[in-house]
Amino acid sequence: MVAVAVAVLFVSAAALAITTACSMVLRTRVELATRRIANYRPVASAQLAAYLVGTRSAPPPHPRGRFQQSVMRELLLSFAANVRGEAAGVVASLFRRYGLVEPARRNLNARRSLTRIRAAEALGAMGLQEAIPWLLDGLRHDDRQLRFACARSLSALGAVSAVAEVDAALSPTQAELGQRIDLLVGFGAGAIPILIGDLRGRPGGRRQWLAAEALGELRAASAVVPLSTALDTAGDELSARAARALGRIGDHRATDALARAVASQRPWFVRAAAAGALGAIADPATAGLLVWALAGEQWDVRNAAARALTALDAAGVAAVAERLDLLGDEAVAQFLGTCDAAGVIEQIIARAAGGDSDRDDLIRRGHRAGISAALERVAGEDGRAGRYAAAVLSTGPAAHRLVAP
Amino acid sequence: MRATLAFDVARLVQELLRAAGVFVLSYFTFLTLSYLAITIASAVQIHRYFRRRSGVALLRVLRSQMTPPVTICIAAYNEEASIVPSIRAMLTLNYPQHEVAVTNDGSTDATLGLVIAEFGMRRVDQPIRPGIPTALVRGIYRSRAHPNLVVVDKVNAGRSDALNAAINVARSPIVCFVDADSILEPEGLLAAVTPFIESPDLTTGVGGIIRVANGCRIEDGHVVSVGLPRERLALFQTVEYMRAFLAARTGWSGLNGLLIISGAFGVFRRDEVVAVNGFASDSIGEDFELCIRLHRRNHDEKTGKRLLFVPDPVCWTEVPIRMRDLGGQRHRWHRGLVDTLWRHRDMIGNPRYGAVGVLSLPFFTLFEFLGAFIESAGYVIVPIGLLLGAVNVPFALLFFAVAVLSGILLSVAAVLLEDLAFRRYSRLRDLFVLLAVAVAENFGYRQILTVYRVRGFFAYLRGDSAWGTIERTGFDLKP
Repeated sequence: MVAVAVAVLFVSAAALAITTACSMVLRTRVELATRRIANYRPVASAQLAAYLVGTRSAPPPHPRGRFQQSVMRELLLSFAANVRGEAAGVVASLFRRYGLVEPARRNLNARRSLTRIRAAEALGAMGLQEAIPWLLDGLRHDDRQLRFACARSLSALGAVSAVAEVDAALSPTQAELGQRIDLLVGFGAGAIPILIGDLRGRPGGRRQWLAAEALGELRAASAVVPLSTALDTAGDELSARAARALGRIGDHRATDALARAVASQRPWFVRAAAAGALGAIADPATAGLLVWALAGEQWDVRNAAARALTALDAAGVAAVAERLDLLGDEAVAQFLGTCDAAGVIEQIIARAAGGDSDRDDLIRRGHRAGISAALERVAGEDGRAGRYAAAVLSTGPAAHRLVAP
Repeated sequence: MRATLAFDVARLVQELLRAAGVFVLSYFTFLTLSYLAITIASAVQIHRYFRRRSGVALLRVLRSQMTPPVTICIAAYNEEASIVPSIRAMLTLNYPQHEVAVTNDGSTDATLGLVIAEFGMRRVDQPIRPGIPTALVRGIYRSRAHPNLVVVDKVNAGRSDALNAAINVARSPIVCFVDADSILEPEGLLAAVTPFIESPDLTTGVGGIIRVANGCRIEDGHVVSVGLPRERLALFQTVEYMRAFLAARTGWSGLNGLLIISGAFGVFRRDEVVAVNGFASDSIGEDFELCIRLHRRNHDEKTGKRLLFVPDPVCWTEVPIRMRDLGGQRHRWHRGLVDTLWRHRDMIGNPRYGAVGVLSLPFFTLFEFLGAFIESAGYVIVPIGLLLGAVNVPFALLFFAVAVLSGILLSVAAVLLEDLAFRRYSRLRDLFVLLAVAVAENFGYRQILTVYRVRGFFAYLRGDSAWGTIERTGFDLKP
């Protein structure tokens, strides 16, 4: 044991000494480079910024040597990330003018993986359309990180025609499925057919789940039918995601499928997602169904219904006020609490104060169910609404505070 | 006859001392090799991380349509000195969709009043999801000027309960826990959320690195220049945090055995946290305990989900500069460790729980928990053995060399890893100071912490569950 300990000690001490020495050498080189950058970078950066905003007529002088070229490349990249429109075009033209395109192209086949990846990203960030064929070549490289980098750059360049090739080249692992979807979404509408293909693919897979979400993010109207079918027929997880996606798309054609899901016996998260989506579509015709959902047992379904009814604005409030007989105290309080959080309860109080008897019933019922914060706020104001709120508050304390556990 | 018996007892004691000395030496050797292996795993992981993360990666996350909304949950108890700039800094984080949920945990100072006045909050009757049971909530406040800010006012029941209340009002699928007195870097959230975009259905939680804010210049709730602390204790902790986060957690994450996502900065899927009932209010090490329960659920239900550590997103925190405060903190951390290991003792060595069961938990039990006792024992046994002639001088020297050099090796490795990978302390002088501290902390500081850890264990046995307070000098967070 002692021998092992001694050996470990010596090996560790040697490793430590070597690592420290290497680190110091590296650090010294970095320190020297930093000093050189300190001389060149701020000047070049200031000149570049002035040129881009038009306070300087000439661009920074042509970088001399590899060091200045690499600093200028980094500078242009950082500017490219933060500018849009005409300025982005100017940055790209400077990238070309300084002769940085060809080195980036060469670096796509560099020995170091990180150099290859950075080169691919630079070509994309600069918006260089001529780089599309080189990046397509990069999709065939063994280095999967480079393939992803090339795909990202192709997406940044808007190479929609390459989307199928990109997708074929990625072959993601389970842990990379999100990256693939993120990339495809970056291609915009061009990726919709692939995503619909995913959605209709092997049942139960994560690909389907992510495809449904992505179609929602892309507001893909052409996906309403397959998403509605998935909502009706697929497993619960996919159905919930399909419902959320339909809500994002906001197409009225999905209303029937969503209404069926709300009225179904499916798990709460599917029904809540469907109710939320109906709120996003905001079809007043669904108000009755949402009131029915608000009267349900599940808190999350009620919450989604309350938010959807709030989104329906006057039609939602009217529907709730008309069907108070259907609703328990908790549901009424949940609806008015949601209105309060959304900042619309004052309008309901004002209408009630103005003689709207349905809204008056709703507010008084809400007060009995524990709604008091908005009434207290309004009661402090002058005018009819203030007097009305004070009168409602004077009818007695709220039955219970909503916020109690 | 009596003389023979005395001689036999003396020899037995000598033999026992010698055996104990050899055991402690073996233990230290094993410990050094294990920590070294984790450090190497961390270096590999960081290298991989840099290959995948490009300079424009965060910008991509910022612009991506798949970036999920996040609720930042903050528990505030008597934070009147820092709460307003802290909330302001959170509201201005560079992130496409985020809300800030602050729980005023029954503060006895002006915390709530300040927040209401500063952000124009008004009490609303917003319904609260009955997800995780909490102590009585007195009110919910929202602001028209800041629609993405919500404040929960509740009776005092501790940090865990306060965070649970914030989770209940959170509207986003992802929740981020940040200490009220910590500073998150503007792009920190973007970096931490990236795994939720790349593997949305395989990521349960993500931890970021915690760095020492003492010595940094802070303006408007943001760190504007990084510097080393002047106080010796804070310097020691700077190296210690590098070792714990950079050289350990990164490696554990790569091995799928990450046990702790710090309560000072962690990002989780809300539904997963709710499914395990949030933070345990009766736990002392609530962040550690939550992670273990999430691991347990992931393995029990075979979800394939993981807890990850990302070395890039940085949260800055003020560390104690008084020995008494540091002692209290370490005392509590060790009680938390013992408590969590005891609660989940059935997972230790259990292959059902994968790397967590067979690697991380045994490692923590053997080195983090028992290490304090064995190290203390070594410091006592070897000198006594030397006095009684049970161990010889070369052995004693070897023991101290292994004990001290192993510590130096690991600390220096962490400092070098930091310097090679991130170089947050950019001056060459800082590097030399950190290397010197990495050596110096093994002469006294480490041993004192060992004593605190031993005391923490006995306090746990006595049922001490006090949280303790740390006197902070406070950041210059004035807007």
